[in-house]
Amino acid sequence: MLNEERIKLMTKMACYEADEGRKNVAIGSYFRGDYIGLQVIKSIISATIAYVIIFVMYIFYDFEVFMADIYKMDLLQFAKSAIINYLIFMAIYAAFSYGVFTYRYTKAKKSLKTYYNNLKKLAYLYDRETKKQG
Amino acid sequence: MKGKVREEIIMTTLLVFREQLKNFYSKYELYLTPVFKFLLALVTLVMINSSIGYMSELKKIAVVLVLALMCSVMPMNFIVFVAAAVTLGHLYKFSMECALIALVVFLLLFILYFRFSSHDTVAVLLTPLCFILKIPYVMPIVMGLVGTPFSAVSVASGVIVYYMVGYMIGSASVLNTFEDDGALEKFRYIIDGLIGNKEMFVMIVAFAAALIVVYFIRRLSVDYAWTIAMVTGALLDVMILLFGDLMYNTNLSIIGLIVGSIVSVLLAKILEFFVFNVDYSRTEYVQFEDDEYYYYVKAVPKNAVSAPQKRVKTIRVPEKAVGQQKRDGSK
Repeated sequence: MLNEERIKLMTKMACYEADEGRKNVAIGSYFRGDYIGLQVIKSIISATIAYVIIFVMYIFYDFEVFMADIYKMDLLQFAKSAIINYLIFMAIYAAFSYGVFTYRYTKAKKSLKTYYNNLKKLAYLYDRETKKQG
Repeated sequence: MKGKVREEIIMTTLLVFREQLKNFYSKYELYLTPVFKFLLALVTLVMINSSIGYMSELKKIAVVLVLALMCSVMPMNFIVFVAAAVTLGHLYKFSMECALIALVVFLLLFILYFRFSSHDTVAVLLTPLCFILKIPYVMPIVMGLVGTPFSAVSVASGVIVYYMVGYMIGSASVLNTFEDDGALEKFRYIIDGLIGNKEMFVMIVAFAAALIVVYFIRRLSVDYAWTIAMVTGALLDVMILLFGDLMYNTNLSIIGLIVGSIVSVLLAKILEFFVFNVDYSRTEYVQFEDDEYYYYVKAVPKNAVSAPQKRVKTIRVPEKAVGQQKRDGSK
């Protein structure tokens, strides 16, 4: 027998899963710390790649001056300042992404609340059905 | 009085039209979305080809059509990817150094920004398109209405991409005077030009400010918040651009700015009426299963059949009009 109430509920949930819920369900499968940590690590990797690109461009831009000065300048100092800049850049970017992804996780969890409630309801409907049949 | 009646009749006609449009869309959503994507991709590619068409292979109709067809079935962001790739292709033919710089800019945008807001990516594409169509001022308004304050970064990226490519193409004659082994000089020339482009920075500041202002005003709980937001945004935009023009002499076309801003507000208003304020909730096709059955469900939104409501409105309005007309006639 088809249970109309249950089909309606399942359709609603399937619509949510197919549309806006898809991302939220994916986010919701992580623990808070895991999700945010993973995203921040990804951000740090992105920031590192971006910094390397910018750094290479900077060297390339001043290539002739750089090559002429390379024996004169304090390479240690240069490397130090490059690393400090990198750390500042990375820290700002990581802090920013921490904020963004914390906000996203909270929002996704909120949106999933109805979905989880519906899941419970669905389980209840199943339960009732099996009891009736049994 | 007559004017008011006519206005209301026009309004009713528009509302009916919108309702029909909505019904039509929710009925054929499955086919319409790919068609829209195809058209957007086609327009984008044709515009790129006509403004920087250096690589003749990419300009072939077959290539353009195949790319646009691919875009129609892929997610929206694929159009952005294709547009970036085609731009890079043309620039590569034009000059290696330009292509390299453009690639770096695209990469940085991709790595740093689009991790956060993948749904905003299309703004990067639409902003240069609107620039070519001479209505760039519509972008901050529209993105402020539908987006978040972060959309300012997308629009700013679009501005950078437009000015970067424009600058490269504009300095073609200068770049040709460099010797073949003058890659470094070319490179430096372009970077200097980009960093020293005051017009670009003024545009970015104006657009970002306008977008954020539009966003915050449209969220206020006052009547006509959207309209107030549009007009304020456009005015702020004009003011900052004029101020920037005075400060840095950016060669801004003032008539273009004013006309463009007015057109932009009108366009935003039209979009608001037909797109943003309407729930184009669509027919959904979902499938799932339980222990006994597979379900293939087509869920049709109920509001798609609300035709009778309109009739009430049309009857009420002409009643007044008829009375008025009778009185006018007896005079």
